[in-house]
Amino acid sequence: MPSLLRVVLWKEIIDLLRDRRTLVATLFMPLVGLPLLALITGAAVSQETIVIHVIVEDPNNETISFADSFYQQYIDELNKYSLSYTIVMTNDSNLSGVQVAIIFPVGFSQNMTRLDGTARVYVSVLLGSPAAERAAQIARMVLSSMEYQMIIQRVENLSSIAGIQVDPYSLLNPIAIYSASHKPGGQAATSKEVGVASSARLLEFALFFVANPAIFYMIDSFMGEKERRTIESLLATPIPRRTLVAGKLLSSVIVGLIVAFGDFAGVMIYFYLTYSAGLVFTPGLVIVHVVTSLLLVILTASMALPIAIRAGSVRAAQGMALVMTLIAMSIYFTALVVDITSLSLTSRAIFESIPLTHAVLVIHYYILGETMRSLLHILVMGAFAVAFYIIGTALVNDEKLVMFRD
Amino acid sequence: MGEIIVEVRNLTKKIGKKPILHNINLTVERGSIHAVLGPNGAGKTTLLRTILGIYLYESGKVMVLGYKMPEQRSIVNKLISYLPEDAQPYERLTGYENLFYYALIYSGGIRETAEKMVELGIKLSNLGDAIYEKTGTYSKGMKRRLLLARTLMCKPKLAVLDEPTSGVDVVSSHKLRQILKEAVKNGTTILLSGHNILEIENIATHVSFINNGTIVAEGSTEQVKRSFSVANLEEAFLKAVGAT
Repeated sequence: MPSLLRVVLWKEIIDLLRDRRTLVATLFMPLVGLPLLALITGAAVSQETIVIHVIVEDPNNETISFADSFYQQYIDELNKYSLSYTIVMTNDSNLSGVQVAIIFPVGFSQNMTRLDGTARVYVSVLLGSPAAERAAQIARMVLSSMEYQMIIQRVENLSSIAGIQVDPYSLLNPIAIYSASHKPGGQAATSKEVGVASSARLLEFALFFVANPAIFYMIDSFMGEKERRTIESLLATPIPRRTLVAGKLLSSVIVGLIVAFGDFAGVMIYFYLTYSAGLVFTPGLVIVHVVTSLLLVILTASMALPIAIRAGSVRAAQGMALVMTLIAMSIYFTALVVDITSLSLTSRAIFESIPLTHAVLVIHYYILGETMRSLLHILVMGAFAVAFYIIGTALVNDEKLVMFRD
Repeated sequence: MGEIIVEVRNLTKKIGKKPILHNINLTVERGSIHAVLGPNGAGKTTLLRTILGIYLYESGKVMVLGYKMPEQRSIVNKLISYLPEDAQPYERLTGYENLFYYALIYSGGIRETAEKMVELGIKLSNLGDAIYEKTGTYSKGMKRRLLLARTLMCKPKLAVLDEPTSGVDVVSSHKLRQILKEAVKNGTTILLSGHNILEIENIATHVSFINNGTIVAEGSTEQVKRSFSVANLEEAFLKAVGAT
């Protein structure tokens, strides 16, 4: 490495790493904040006590017996989901203080026992209570299961009346649906491959947290020096502009990478704590993600370079950086819910004209087993980074760097 | 006249559409302390930045150490150094690290040469043990001494100092003037700007008065005082700009 580049790098890294408040702020939120958020949310959910009333308005013994059976099964299911609750069976219809009410109205048993009757059950949920919604959902699930048993019973009764032999399960399920996944070449995908593909989507979204920090470090490297009044004397030294730009770019990339990997770890811990069952990683996927992240940090720092050099002030640069961040967020959020490669040609061209999209495509094509296409998008990212470095270096204008304008 | 270090001829400079410097002529001789004096907004900083090649200009000619500016700036920058008016050190670096960074740049990354420069810088700044503390803890006077030492430690052929004593107290100002005199003894020519004419009279050998972007008088301090038949530079300046 040329010695003057090493000199710039030495100073920039010391300066950035000693800015502890900024480092802590950019690292703390995702690395500690996100896992903490997941833990707090989990703890809060488990501690929220839901008040449930099973209200039996119909005095008929059959209704009481059905409600009692529901009550036992419901408790079993609630316990499986580790929900905290209090539950009572009552004939008092007052819903005050109740979050979930399962109401068996008068006439329930009469309709239930008739072959063509429809018995009604009301599941009422307190407005604006997510925990109550979860408990109500479990109640509906238990009732559906009990309803299915009654349907079977009715089919058996009907077949007995008609004097014909039928299998109630086959009668009720004339079509069986099986789910499978396959690769672009048509080969069947294993369940592990399906899990890796789902995890890759989360990784594509997590790229946002990788892309972000380098932008702000890059902007600070020029606009920060301008506002701290340290750049003007530097411009009269023998240091070549391209060396100065390269040194600042490299230092932003190095510190950006440290923060990015911290942020990425935070996001993955968050995902692990919230979707632990669904995450499957392979060494290959991890390597591809690390390479993509490295390139993405270089790319975003390079993209921020022209802004850092020509914005005029930190505030203007931050405004432009915010736009860049929003674009990054929209791309990586889109990647979470949409397959960019299956969009129309025009939409895809728009997405691919944004350099940040190619990070998603590197991972996407790797998952599909299309290694060459994945490599192609790595090269595209590299080409964009070089282009932005050249543009940034060409845009260096000493007069604009020292002048303060509104 | 001695060897010419800076030669400015018929220089015109605009910022945006606003003309800032009009037909400026300026000559700085080797071994002199040449002060560009004028009120705030007269064009002193613009003139220095243009001489240094930081600003481009519309017409005229600027030669520094025999090199045309800004075309040959990369050569000139190895031979000169510059202290801007409102410059600050890197506050998260110690005084020593601030000196070392610039010493490495001027030495082309050669550590041994840089360490010798830093030795001189430490001596010039006279900051004692504070040199190993982060400059964020320094007073304004200490920062200015450090920056002046940083500017002069590489023994430049020309040091350009924009208001070197601005905003510092009397004691610090006196120490800064001593540093400048020491640098001239070591072979550095100094081009500085200022608006405190009485203070600069104590140190400058030559002056150029600038007002509204035009040089209104130039010469050795004695010549200028004689030409206006006055006892001090302040009176000479007031006459030059027609304020008396």
